[in-house]
Amino acid sequence: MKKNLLTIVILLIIVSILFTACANESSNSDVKAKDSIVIGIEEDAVSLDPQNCSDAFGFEIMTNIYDTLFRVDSKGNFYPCLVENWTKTDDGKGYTFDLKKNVKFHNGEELKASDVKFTIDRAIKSSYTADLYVCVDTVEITGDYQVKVNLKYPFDPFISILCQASSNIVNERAIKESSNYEKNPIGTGPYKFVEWVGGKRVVMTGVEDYHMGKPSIMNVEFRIIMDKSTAFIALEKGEIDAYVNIDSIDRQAVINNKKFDFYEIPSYFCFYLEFNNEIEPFNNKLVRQALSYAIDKEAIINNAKNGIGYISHNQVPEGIYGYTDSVKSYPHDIGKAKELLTQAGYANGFSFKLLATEGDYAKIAQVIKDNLAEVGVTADIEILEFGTFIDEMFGGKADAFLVEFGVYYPDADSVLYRGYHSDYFGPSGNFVRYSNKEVDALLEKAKVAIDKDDRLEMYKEILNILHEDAPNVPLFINTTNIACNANLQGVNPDPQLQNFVYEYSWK
Amino acid sequence: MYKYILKRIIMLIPVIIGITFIVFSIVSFTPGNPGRLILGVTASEESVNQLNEKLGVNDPFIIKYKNYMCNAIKGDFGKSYNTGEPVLDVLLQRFPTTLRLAITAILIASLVGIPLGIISSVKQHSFIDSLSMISALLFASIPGFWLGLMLILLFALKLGIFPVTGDEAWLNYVLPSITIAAPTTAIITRVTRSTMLEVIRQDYIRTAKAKGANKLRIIWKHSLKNTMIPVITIMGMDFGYLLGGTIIVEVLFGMSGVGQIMVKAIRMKDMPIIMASVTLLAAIFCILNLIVDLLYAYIDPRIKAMYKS
Repeated sequence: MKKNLLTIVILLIIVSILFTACANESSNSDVKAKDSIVIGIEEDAVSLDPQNCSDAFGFEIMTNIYDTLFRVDSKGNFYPCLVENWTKTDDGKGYTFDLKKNVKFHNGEELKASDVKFTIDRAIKSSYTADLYVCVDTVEITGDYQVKVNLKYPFDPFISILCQASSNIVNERAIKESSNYEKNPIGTGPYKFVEWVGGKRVVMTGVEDYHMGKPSIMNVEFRIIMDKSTAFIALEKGEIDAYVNIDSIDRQAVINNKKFDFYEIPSYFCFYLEFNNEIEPFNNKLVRQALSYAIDKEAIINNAKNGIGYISHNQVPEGIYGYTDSVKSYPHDIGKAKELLTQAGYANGFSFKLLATEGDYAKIAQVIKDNLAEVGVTADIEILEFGTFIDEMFGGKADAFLVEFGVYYPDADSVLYRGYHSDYFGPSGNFVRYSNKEVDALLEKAKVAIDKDDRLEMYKEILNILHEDAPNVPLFINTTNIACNANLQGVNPDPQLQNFVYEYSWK
Repeated sequence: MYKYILKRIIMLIPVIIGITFIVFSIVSFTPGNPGRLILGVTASEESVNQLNEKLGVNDPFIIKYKNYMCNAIKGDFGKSYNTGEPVLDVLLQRFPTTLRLAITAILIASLVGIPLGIISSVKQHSFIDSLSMISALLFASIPGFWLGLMLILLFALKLGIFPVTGDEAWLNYVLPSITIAAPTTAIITRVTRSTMLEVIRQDYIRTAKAKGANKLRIIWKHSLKNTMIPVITIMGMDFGYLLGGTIIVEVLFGMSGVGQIMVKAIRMKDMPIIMASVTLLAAIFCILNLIVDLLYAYIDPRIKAMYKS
């Protein structure tokens, strides 16, 4: 009897030791002071080093800790942030930037031209950002606060590249002296990094003498909540003040609730049904056009995305420079589809394998399967694990597959060049294996054109050809949203998820 | 007896090495490479290859395995491909949370399940018996994430007693532990009950009753140890599911334990994290089964004698 009692007592002691160990951590208070905010995000950042990071959540957090030379406002126009004035040479290859003076990094160092050169050189070399900076040739320091960037070719979208989170300006000394830089970022942004508890939260605090003015909300915590149902409950309870990208299931509940505001905009992420233009029957333009008519994009949005999404009209998402109103989506027309299939010699239809990976794709594939069945085409859906899916996609033997693409920078060149130029056949970006000399030539010309109107004209022509050739079917554009406490103002979801908390304030 | 324990502990080593080899092989030979998964679908081949070279992914399989094991013995478990953090630090930081969850769940399961099973068997066909058997069926069948979500809705949101996410204070552990423990509790209740029913019908129990022992003494001194063998066996086996359950619960309740990073690591083919976390969980499972085997000796003198010989 005594022995058993002893065992129980020992167990109780072990349990209490385990828990006193964790009770030492401070618990989060639910009472939010008016100058702090807790924002929920669905995944932890991987790194807070802008030139060694490729995940959207890292970018989202870094946008608040660092500055880029230029920033983008809610209408998509860029404005100078670290730059006082700037000039561009007539041949479009040289950019000279005069930096603002007296801008301080969070470690007290002043922003100098050497930091900008260091950042850009670093971006050119890093595997994470090399693709973005492929247009840059050299960077020269022409003054303490003046930098000259020489491009390999005239590149109009260069400024929008400078707005990307990968272009966040870092302090040369901080990087060289730190052994663990990606966990201890130093920037010039409105918020100074305080701590990062892996998997739980990133905390930052406002910088009083930020060069664009003191932030309205001084204490910011990004809290990681992976499960969206849990996140919604946390929002309802008030444990978080905002959540980025709540589930579509909870959308109506948030909209109906007066305690919350809901902001939703089209993102730059578009879903495509990609055909392998090299193999039968997709090497026949008539077949591709027929399938484009057969697909009912409304139905896909309604059935697979609960009605939330915007129909894609062409290969460039709306809102991106180079988009044109003049190219509209193929209408849903079963009659036309059947007619074209008969013309192509497939009056009795055909069957093919449609590949997709886990997530929303399964439902989308199902709607497509139903659509195509109406014209006698059978799509055999195969859901693969992501690594396997990528291998199949790059292998070149797959018939068709479903993908979602974003953009490197908000310009048609980012979407179209690597996607449809024959130089990038296969795994490099042209997954549809499309080859058209005319399009190649236009893409090359549009990339380096200096005149803005010329570029728009060229992209309009390219999109018209792509519409005609239908190498893939742009399905719909995903939305991004922020659900937040109704007392929060200034909230503007960013289409690339780079949400700038500096602009938020409490009523 | 101690020789037996030592022998068993030494036997664990080849088992764990075998596990590392199997995990390493599976991850190496399945499709997908870390560089591509980290940089995304639209990154160029050159960038992907550059990153893969840097991570040492392209070496032949045996060389990679040998390098990994040599480093592991020295205590260097590598750095995460994804975040670059030293794996040992990541695990040491996250392991206590998972351990707390698992141990709390086992305690709940045994401290609720065994007494409930005993009461049900002693008062067979009573109201308590029916209630606990139906509940056991219910909780064995309910999916963990649904149960967890319902618990959050009721106790965290509506009643406001517990926090929704996080793992700061002991309050945070209550709902997740209950969620993990539920199916195991159900099984333990049922097994305890059925074994106990058999035991109390044995002759030696009747003898004890005839000698005038009261009910409590019969249960505690005479029946319990005989009941425990199958129960502990089931617990040992179920512990594997329990460890798996921590993954779901850690994601649902936003707790930063080993399970949370394991799923992401597997998707991204983050070899160092996968190796360390999967091997760790497998090792815990082996050790627990060893403890179960040793508990047999503690409970049943016949088995103790067998070990000693």
